[in-house]
Amino acid sequence: MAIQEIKLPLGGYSEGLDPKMQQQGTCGYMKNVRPRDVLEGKLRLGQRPGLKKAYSQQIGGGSNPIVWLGSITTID
Amino acid sequence: MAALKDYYNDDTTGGWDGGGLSIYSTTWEAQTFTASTTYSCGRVRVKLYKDSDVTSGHGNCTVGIYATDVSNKPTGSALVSASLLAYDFTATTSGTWYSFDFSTPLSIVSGTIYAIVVSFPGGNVNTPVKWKTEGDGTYAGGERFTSSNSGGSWTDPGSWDNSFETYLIGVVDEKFYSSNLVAISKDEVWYESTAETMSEFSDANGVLDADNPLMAVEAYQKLFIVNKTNLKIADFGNTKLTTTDIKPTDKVIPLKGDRITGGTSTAEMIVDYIDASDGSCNVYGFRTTTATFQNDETVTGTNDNGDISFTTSAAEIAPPHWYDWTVYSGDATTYGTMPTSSSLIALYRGRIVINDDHRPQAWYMFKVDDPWKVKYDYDNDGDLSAVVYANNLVGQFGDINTAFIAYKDDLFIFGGEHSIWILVGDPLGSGQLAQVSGKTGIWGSRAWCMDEQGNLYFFGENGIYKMPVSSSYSPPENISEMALPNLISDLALDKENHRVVLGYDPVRKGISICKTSLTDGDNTNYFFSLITNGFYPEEYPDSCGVFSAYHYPATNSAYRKFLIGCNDGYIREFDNSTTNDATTSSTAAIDSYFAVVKPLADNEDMEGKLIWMNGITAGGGTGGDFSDTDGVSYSLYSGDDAETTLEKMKAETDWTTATVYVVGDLVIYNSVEYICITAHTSNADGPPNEEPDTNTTDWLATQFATGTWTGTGKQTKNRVRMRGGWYGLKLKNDTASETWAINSIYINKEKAGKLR
Repeated sequence: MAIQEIKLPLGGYSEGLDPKMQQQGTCGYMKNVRPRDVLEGKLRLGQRPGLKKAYSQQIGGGSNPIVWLGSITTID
Repeated sequence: MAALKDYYNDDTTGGWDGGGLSIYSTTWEAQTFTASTTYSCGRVRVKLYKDSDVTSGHGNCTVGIYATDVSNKPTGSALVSASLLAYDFTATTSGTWYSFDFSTPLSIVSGTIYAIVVSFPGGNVNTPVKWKTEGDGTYAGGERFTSSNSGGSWTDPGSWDNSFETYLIGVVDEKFYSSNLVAISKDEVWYESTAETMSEFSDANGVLDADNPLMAVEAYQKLFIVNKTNLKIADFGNTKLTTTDIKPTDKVIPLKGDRITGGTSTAEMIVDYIDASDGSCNVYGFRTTTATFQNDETVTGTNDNGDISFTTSAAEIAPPHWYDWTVYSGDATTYGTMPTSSSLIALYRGRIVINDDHRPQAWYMFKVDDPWKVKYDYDNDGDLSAVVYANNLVGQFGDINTAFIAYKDDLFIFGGEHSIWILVGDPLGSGQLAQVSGKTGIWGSRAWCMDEQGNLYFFGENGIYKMPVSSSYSPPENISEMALPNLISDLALDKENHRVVLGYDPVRKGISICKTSLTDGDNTNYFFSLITNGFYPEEYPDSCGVFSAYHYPATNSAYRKFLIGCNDGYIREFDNSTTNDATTSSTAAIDSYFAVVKPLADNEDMEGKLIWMNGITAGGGTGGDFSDTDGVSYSLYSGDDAETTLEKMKAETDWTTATVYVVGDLVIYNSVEYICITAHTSNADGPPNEEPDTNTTDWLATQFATGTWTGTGKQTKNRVRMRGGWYGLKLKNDTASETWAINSIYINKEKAGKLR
């Protein structure tokens, strides 16, 4: 009998090695997971943050993507 | 220090043709306004005059700021107020601006409607004070109200507006500037008119064509946009004057930096740009006075060439402005010739840098601090002179320009199709052009970003590269070749069909690497963590496909966010408290999972037995200080070797009818993975055996056990007793409005003999 703690793949996704040789801390199958969780910001695996509309306005008539984002700084 | 904030002070359209109702005793006047920003208001100015019979005995005139009710009328008591002796006011009916300073400034909140109220309780019907009023009533942020009962009730007399100005004054406030977000879609330019509200820049509508390459750079309170033959400027800083004759006989045109003055208004402006050298002309510049330029006034000044004098053909126009980007006054002889088509732009050492689409190896650097002069003119401008690639020792590098990157203050990177070159220093100093790499180029104009340390990340020939920060520059290193060796072939990139965007998120300390289909927004993405140096695959709904990314350094820290410009025209952010992805008109659950594959036995010839496993999910005890995770489902797999075990859990295609399946195909049916063990065409046998769960002749479930860890903290042991050489554990959650995190997983295993 041997109780082991499984090392979580905090190092992310890696497909560069035979799974047998999988780098410590990586895994070969992962999606929408990040190493810093959204609950407390701790370094542990968890679901990525969701995408939220930052502005309520839909730009470009709804059928066109936003191709450039930036900002302009002006003197008050 | 006093900074003008909100105002209605344009007295040119009607000349303040209204004197306003008389203000005296219980007859009060009000003007509401909508705060354009958040600030501390320490002063209100209003334009007043008194009846000539007012004496010192009639007392003070009071100006206060009031809150407004649901009808946007003044309500309650004055939030702040100040008084002046009315006897000291002018009796001239054109009025004078009087300042009312508050002993304690009022915190004004952006977007909130306030009312400025003027009262003169000591006056009577024959000795009133009057508030200058504009009959055309063009102020859009509020309206005028009157009261006959000392503010007990208010009525709207129509389209009139009273004159007013509010000031930030008398408080320590280091902010004298504002950053506002700008977004460009196909043929529209939008900007953040108030916090978290985007408004269209209507003058720009229909001009750009984002089906062609488009880039922009912010400089000098303007946005310089290159979009093939559309070379445009969105000017958010300058005031605009118009004239029908900029250069009357014996006069000269104003030059950049000249100070000009309105003869009637006494308004002053520092000239920045004019768009013609004779005849009708627009003059853009920074107004340095509170006084504004009026229609039909003579504006004068002088420079080394002579006297400036022209007559305005309209009152000044406040920014923003939209106009063609040309050299100063359109004078190519003096200021040079810009390329007719450009699609790359950057700002380097105070120089605007653009490419020439017709000479794809060429580059143009404008004069330092002068985006209107591109002529090489060392005799007049010295080291500040503009430089075109052929003017100096530094020049073309042979490859086609794909990206312009101002890497540091003394390093400029020319990304090429197959190479990277770097300009060290200023082209008119001791600038030198050197090749950084002949092995990789930079995929496109947005396929790069920099982190806080100045490290450059870009998408290149064979994956993701990092060019480390150093005292000069270092060759790029491929940081994805170990984790993502097949990245290029997997992504199947095609410049005609895909966009690649990289963006640095300083909050989450990572790089978003996004490939998006131009046609439908289908996307493949990786988050590269600078904390773990690992890649994390991500997928977003097609509507959220990333076409642009930007960390918005808003003036107000509450609005500083990493933003992405999406396929459906919405600007989105990654939000920790959001558990779904917001699609165009709904939400989508996030399908998140990872897997681990580990040996059960001591060597390849042996089997092991998994006795039990359990997990410790995030959140501590239920409730408590730490945020609680939602549940996470687990699936267990076993196999003789690691790759077989991993393969069993990678089914991502739903089972469908009328499909030819061959041995080894993997499908998902009712959330269970199956592997095809007999070639067949689904549905051929008819019910009940066509579905994988009942058709055990053709399909075999790959999972050994499944379950869900619910709640927080240490889970109940899952006693599974699974044999095999290797085991795989997959954790997953694809439920709407849920999110999860896990602290650790434990297993208990024992030897089970030789592999059968």
